[in-house]
Amino acid sequence: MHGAPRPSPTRSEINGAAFAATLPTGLPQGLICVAKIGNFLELFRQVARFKINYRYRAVWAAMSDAEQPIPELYREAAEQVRQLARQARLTDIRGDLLALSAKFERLAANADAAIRLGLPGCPHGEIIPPDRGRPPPEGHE
Amino acid sequence: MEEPQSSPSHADSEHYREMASKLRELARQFRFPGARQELLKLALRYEVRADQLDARSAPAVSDQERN
Repeated sequence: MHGAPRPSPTRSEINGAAFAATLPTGLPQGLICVAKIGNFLELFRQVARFKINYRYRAVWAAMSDAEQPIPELYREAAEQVRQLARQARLTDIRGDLLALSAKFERLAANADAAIRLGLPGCPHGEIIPPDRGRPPPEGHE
Repeated sequence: MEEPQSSPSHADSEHYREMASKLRELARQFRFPGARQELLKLALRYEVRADQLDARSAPAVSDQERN
């Protein structure tokens, strides 16, 4: 993968390198081998993490800049409605707004799940009803 | 209990209108139609409630003015 930014070294990688550098030359081969395996496992973990990040970035990159992912839109809306609820001095208004905020959070979670499952129409589609994808109860057509 | 200077229902109706206006403003910022629709629906409900509160308190206010 050309041009991909190399992830910054993690604390364990730095510690591993530092540890390897401090190893005296006369140490038994077994101990040096353990240190090398540790470094290899850290490298493997970084590659796995990069692959996961790359995959999810690809999902968002498929959209134009103007098109924000639906879960993000709903989370943003939920946060703003929560802020408005704090300004309300009547309990019923506050209750309404907090309920609406909770609804937006639920919709964000549903949209996230739909993206994870790769349901068609997501993240570009309409609001995902909570029951979509659930198998029909037994005995029903 | 002592009556407050301004009618509580009038203050409440003002608050409903204020919140409705803020909801409409928020709705304008949202690009996603689902969220926008929910906010506009709530804003409309608050405006209706404010009108109802005003209508309920209107005779009481005119009575006070007459006295």
